[in-house]
Amino acid sequence: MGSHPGLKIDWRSHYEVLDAYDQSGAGGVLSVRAEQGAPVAAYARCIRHYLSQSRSGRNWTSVQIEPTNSNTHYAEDIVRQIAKSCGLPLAKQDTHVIQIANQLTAGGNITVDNVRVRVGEGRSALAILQELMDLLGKWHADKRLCILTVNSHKLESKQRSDLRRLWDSGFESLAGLGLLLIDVQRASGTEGNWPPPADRSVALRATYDSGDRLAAREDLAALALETKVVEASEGSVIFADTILASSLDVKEVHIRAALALTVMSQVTQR
Amino acid sequence: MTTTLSTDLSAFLDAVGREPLIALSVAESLTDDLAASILEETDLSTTAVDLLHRTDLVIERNSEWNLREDVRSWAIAQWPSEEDLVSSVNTRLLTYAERDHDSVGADFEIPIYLQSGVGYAYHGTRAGRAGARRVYGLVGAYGVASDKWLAHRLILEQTSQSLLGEKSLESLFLSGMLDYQEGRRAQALKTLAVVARRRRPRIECAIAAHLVGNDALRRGRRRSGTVALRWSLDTLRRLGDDWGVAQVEHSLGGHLAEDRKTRREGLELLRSSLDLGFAQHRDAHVAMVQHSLGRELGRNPATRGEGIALLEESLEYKIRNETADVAAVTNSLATVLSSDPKGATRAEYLLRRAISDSELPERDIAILQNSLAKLVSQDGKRFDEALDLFNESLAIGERLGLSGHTAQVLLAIAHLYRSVNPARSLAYLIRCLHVNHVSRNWRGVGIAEREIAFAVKADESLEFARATIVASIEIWPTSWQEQIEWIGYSKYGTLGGTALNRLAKDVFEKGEVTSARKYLSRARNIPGPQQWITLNNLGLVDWARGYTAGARYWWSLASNAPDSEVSSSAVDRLFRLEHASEAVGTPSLNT
Repeated sequence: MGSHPGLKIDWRSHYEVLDAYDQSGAGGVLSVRAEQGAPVAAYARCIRHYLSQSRSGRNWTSVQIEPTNSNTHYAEDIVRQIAKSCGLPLAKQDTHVIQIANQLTAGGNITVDNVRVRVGEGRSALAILQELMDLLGKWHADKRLCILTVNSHKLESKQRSDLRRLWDSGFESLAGLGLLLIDVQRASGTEGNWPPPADRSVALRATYDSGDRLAAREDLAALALETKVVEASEGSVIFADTILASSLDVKEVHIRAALALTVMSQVTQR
Repeated sequence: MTTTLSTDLSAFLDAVGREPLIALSVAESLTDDLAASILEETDLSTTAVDLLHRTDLVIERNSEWNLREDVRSWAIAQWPSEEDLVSSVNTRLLTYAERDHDSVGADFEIPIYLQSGVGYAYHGTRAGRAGARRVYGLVGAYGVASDKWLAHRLILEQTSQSLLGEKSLESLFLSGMLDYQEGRRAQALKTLAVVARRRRPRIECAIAAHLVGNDALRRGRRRSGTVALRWSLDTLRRLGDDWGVAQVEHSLGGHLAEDRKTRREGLELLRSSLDLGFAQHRDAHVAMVQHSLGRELGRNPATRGEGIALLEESLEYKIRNETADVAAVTNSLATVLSSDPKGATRAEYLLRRAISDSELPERDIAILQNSLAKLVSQDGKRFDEALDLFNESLAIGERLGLSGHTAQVLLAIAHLYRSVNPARSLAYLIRCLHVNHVSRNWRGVGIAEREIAFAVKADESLEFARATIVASIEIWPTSWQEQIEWIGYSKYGTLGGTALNRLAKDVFEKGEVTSARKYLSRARNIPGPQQWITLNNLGLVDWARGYTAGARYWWSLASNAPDSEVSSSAVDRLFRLEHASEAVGTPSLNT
């Protein structure tokens, strides 16, 4: 799947923080505290895309961990996902798909045939982490890694502990070399061992205040011009004002902008 | 119940309609290719895919994505009113889940869950496909951890939709297996016991019986454990599940090989398990069985060579793959090697090499140090070296709370001291018994009790009991009173009575007269040479608390002591009591 850019509307102060991490080469922990109803999924997509367009020319890889994804549920799978996203092949392929049930009588008169099940030899997360750390240590100097934990207030407590263990046992040591951890969770989320102590904290709002609204207006107008759904700047401002006036919150701004841009670009193409 | 829709979901539904979201929600996870395929199938616009990626309605999963949780929940709630659409998409997804990934086409990305068996179980169950539900069982039995977790989540979803019963075998089994892999063993075994008891010819029941049987054996319930494992093995053989058979043969074989009467059958099962592992290219299983079989064969001089060869192969695999049990196999190999004097040097080399591995967990180091200490202690000239190693191993075991290991080391130290200092040896045995008792290791309790009984009977003298108590205080540097009290309330006559007198002396000196009286009252009922000292002490305590009648009574009894020193002391005190009560002597108890 190619990287989806999302719609770059507002969040300018957030991008400034990301620019600081990007340009200084320093890593660390950025905590994003989201208000209830804030567009967390769209936000995560936008900042991943923003990093991929690094102002300093660095090559960012971002890995997203969220509670409903089985592929990043257990610590060992998180490590494997990071290796996969970074294009770093782990030497020992300890998970493979096998045809476990060729003519296997599944009980009674039912036969299960030709079913594939993923099996593994169960290497511990810390053993795989060690291998990954060695590989990351030899990574190209211009490459940067961002680990993004999204909706982490919904993670099970064991998952939070596992993440913390991975951080303490390895990833933290890479923060000095540029690894950036961004944690996005509900502002009234859980108090616990995740995320690790943050060096920056920013708020993700569900609705715009006056300053954000102004920035969103500018961005929406720019989007309208960029995608050529309007030709004149006057039209682009009307576009922006219409979207903002018809939306109750930031989520709605994103969907109304997406809908308008999609529909209008189809009309324009015709 | 009416749920308020989020602003963006409402806006999407008003503008686009509900069908795209309902169609996409049938999949547990999506790729762009799969989403476009679903929408094409249903004559819905594929523009929706690009549109969704510009909104907050979908969340990325690295190379995959899915509808936001509340959006998918809303869409699932609409399924009953869109049965044709849901059924059509489900059938398409089932087709992907059935196909070999290569046949789908290299350019077409499909989500992992459709390649792992979970997708087949999920979509096949919805489609009513015979056998699909059984694949939930296969994932629960053999799938990787993340697939078990996902399968459990999906089976809960389908249970809430009444596609499966709440107490269905698949649901209970997955729930038990998830608890098991996440370390909630007690809860897991409770659920799996329910599955195992159903005794149906199903993989779920057989695997549950395997785990429940192993647990029974660990708890010393040999009969019920063996019955469960035998039933599990028969069932898996009938079902043709060679991988399951290999695993149960390993468990059952290992258990039966430990008993002389069933050793032959146990070894045959282990060999069969090994062959099945080779046939299925299960390297990790092969290495595990080589370890078990090698250890067993190594006990018999006639098969020792074969045992060593198997252990060496197992160790080579473990080292190559950096598995967590390198130390355990090294330990087994060293134990077998050291059973022959010619192999002792190599055994010591292997143990020292493993101990020097800086990445080895402390627990493993402690186990290896214990083995090395035992090996070294075979040479009488290396007593101090062995003792140092034992003590290092003991310190780690105690710090990490490894009660089983701690008890083993204490037993080994007791053996080391047996001929050199029998009282100290007995003190270690008692400490070993105490550790086993507290950790409810009844097998360990039995072993320690037998050795203690032997040692106590070998020397019933008061001097020996006193020396043992002194040694006990030395080797229990902290809270020795608690430990000595434990000896005092044990059933070891002279030793117990002496311990109670020692405790009474300690608390009496602190002015705790009532406590001293309590210990002595208990000691009073323990027969043995120390009972006369107890009577004398009782007299002193009663005298100290101003109860002269009591003091008179106890000293009168003590004056009959066969030991002249004790009896004359009692007579002397009686005399002083009658004629000069302030001068009965220094109120210090004896032991």
